[in-house]
Amino acid sequence: MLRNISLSVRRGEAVVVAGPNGSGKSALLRLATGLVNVDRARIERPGLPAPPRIGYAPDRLPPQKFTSTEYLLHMGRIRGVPREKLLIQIAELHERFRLAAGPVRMSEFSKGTVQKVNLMQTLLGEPDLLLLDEPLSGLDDRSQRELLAVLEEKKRNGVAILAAAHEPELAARLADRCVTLNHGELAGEPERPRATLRRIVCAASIKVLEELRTADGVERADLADGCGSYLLRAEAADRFLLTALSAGASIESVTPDA
Amino acid sequence: MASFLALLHYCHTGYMRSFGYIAPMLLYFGSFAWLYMVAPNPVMSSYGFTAVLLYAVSAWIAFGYIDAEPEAQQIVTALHAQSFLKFATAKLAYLALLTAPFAFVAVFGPPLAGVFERAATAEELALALAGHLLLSWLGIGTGVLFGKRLFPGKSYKLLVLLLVIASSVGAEGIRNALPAFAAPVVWLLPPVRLVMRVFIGEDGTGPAAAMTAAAGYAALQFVLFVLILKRKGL
Repeated sequence: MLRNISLSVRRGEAVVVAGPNGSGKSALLRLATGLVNVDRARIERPGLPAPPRIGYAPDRLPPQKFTSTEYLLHMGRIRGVPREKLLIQIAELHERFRLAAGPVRMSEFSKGTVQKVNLMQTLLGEPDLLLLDEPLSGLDDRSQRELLAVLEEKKRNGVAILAAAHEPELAARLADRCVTLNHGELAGEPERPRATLRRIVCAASIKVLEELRTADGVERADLADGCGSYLLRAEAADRFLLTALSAGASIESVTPDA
Repeated sequence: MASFLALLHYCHTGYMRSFGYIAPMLLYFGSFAWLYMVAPNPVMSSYGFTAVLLYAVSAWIAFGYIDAEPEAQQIVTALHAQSFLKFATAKLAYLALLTAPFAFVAVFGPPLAGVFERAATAEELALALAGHLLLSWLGIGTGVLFGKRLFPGKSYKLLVLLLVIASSVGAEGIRNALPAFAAPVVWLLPPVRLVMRVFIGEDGTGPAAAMTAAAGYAALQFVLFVLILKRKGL
């Protein structure tokens, strides 16, 4: 299914693999585990300890006949995390993902709750690489925000993240790079995912336009004849607009940009 | 080591909660009870029957167990184990540990219950225990090789497995029925017949050679299983 793919992820970097359903995103992530189709891929992990500590969240974790605590205890103990340390981490993860650690088995959980346990197990034992297949799938808005905050934190701590997502939310908020898979082939590696950039065009005095050039999140600015075209990160767009308007600029257009 | 023990604990808890062991266990202990319902019984030939039964039951358990963990979960578990070899050997070790109590009950149960025609000697007990354990390992080795890696999506694999089990039990008769040039083909089958001959007192090569052949064959099956799993991936 996958053909001629070469992909690298650096420490502290998040790469999101986008693409329609059936494009091979999940297959690519399974391949990256090094446990599937091992004869068809070469995986190099320079900088990762041996054996590598990889957290993998499949698209759908099959719900098992364990409670969330039992399951996480098993996975953590298999990873070699001492029991006392593990119990503390499991309690923290339950709190962070707002999941009650009760006697109910995962086989009775909703899809969203199983997904929370799926993501929680990837974080056990300080992984160096996270492979996340549709991590936001099934999560409510608050849990999605919490997960993104956790992943941002992991990135800052040097964890490499490779995630597959068909919705733009993950790419927009987490990705340092976004690659697109189409029919099993990579369709290029743009520096930024499409959804993370906005082009804002405004009119103002040259002094205001020059000041806006240094505003937070601006990647590129083209100024000409009292008009400025700014390319900036999507999350900085609202703040930029407020700054521009309060400086007396007139907004002419706001558009997504590649 | 702690991680390996944790893997065994995980395998055990998951399997016990699946109830996949109930049918083979019922067959084994049901047949066991049926055999010893009438006493007294001859020592070694009774052991021979329960050992062969354990071979078939172990193959059944291993066949049902080896692909019971969902594929995605297998990848998750193996990554947590941080070693593919550890993951694969833990599965085999768990199956060996799971079937070991069956062997102990079969060997020490009858003398304790007083259903033998005479007291079993220490040598007979040791031989019976080794034979039961080795045949259970041969069964495990046979059962795991019929998992989805070697027979992906093949509906007839259960039939082939049953054929292999039946052929290895009846290998002596097959060998006698085959023309001389084709007779060596039975050496490809798990050497159940060699251990059976020890139990019924017809061993020409001696018990040590029969047990060594069974242990060697089981070890080969285990190595083959790990290699296939590594080659084909999870």
